Amino acid sequence: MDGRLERRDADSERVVLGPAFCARLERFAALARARGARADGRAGLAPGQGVELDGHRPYRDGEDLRDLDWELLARLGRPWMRVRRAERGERAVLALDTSASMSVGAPSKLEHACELAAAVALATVGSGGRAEVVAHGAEGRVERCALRSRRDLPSLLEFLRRRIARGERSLRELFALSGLARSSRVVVLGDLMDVEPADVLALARRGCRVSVAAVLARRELSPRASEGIEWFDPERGDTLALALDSGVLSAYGRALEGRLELWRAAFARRGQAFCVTPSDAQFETLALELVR
Amino acid sequence: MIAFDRPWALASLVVPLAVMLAALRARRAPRVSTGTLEVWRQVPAGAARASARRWTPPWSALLLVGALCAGCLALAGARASARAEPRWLVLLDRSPSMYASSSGTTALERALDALEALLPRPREYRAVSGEFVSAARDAVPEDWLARPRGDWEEPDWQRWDEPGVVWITDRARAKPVQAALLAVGGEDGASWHPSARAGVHIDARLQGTLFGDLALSWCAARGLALAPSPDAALFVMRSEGAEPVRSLRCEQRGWSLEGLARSLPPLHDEPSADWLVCDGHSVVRARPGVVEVALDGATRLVGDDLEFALDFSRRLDRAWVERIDPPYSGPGEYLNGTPPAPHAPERSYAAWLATMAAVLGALALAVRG
Repeated sequence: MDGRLERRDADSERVVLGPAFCARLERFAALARARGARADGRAGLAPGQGVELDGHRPYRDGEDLRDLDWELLARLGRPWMRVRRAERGERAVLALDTSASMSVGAPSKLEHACELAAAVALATVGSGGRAEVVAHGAEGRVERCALRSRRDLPSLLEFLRRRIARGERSLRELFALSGLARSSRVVVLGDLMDVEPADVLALARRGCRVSVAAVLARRELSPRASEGIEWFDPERGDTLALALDSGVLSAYGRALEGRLELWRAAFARRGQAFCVTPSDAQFETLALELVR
Repeated sequence: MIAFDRPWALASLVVPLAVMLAALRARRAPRVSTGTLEVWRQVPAGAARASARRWTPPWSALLLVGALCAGCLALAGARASARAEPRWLVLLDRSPSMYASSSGTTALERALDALEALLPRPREYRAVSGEFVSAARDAVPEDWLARPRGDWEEPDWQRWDEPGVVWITDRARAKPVQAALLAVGGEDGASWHPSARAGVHIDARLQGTLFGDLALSWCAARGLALAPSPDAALFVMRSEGAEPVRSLRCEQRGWSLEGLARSLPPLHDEPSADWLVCDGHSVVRARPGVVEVALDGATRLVGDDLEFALDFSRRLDRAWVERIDPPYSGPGEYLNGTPPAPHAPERSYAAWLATMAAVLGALALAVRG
């Protein structure tokens, strides 16, 4: 059974992560191990922003110039960026947004974020590292769950299933945790509507790579035309009634794209990874991207 | 004022109410959660307002609700009072006895005079003879004040027993319950009291004949005495017409007569009623105080002789009553109290509402289609 089929069709603040997802996670773990083995065969390292050079790729506008290979620029006349590999035994921290707005979507944004968190954590362990998921609990306290080996996977899944999208729990509180400063990778999973790029990029430093997956519901990414709709913000309770004709949809699309472009540009300048994913997307491909 | 024939049917108005609520619920903008409300707020206000103005009413649902409401009101039998002032209905007895003169005025004239003081306007007058109804508004026609020509039948008084109706009669054959009775000229049965001068004279030539024997039986039943010609109040006469004797046959309800007769000569300027007409010739007729028979003694009766006897007796009754002055000759008065005012005229809108329901329903389907 496809994992999507067991998900709910309406907004939900609860996380399911059902048996079908677990089966797909197993297949994903095998795929991640195979990739890790190939990487180990070459250099004994997992991909990522480590100290060992993995190769080069063309420069993209706005990227952090610290990884620019000046020698190649001088010899070839074109800018190339160094691609480094993560060290074996990297420590990844996954910050999970559980604010009320993560309940939006079918499946919900929180469901998809939890799928990604489980997959990234499993891939990190598969490459010899450790992963820790941090998120707000039901009562608003920050809770953690570490994944040191595959044996810890059930407890991680159980931890994720207890997440509830409720209240106004800002990701900023998670960024202030001391554990993030000691990590070699920070993965942020959320809709990013209550944080700014600078808040997340402040975590990026030498030896610590930041990856962000902006999870948005399909109706947030590409809303359909409607004679009338009342948008409701589940965090603040605000509402906004609109008729969604082509003019309004275009204006919204431009505003949303402008906001996402700010994130893309800021992360590109710092050489960090930023991507946008709809909540009904498959988690496997993006999870591999986030751990590379 | 709106009233309903079937007020319980108004409960069916919950149906259009439910349809309206369902339509409004369906039309209400659905509330949808989003995490990008701040982005939506960045949509230029002009674009948002322009799109909001394009809201269109749910015409189909509105028409359907209108059709259902009209249908429910039609089902309930909606009616409303007309703006016209309620009109009194005066029902006139134009029987011959109402034209009996006393102190220079007829009973009908006295009744109408009394009515002026008793009954407000506006009024409508009706004279009923059997099933035949004559109507007049505001004033009694002049010709109604004269004795009617031809036959007159007792109306079905109880059919006219309604509020706002005043009966004017000298003999109330029914007791009104809702109508008022303005009696003039006597009460029920008063005219049947025999008096010394109220005898009956039967033509000697009729003795031993069918009509003579029946007239004698009628006198006995009424308690009337036979009287010599000068004192008689009613003459039952054998008349000789100028035309030659011919064999005639006439058929009536359930009986027929065969015999020899000369047709009766026509009467001028004197009201009479032909009772028996055979082959186009009047052979028995009656007028106040006189019953004339042209058939000879060899007349043969075939069929229902009892019905024949009753018919002839009624004819004698009518001729007899017309010669009796009513014992009550004073002004008329209500015999059963002040009459209840007439109901305001009402107009039923059920058919109009049903038509509107059909039209609106068709429009709703057309708009939806």
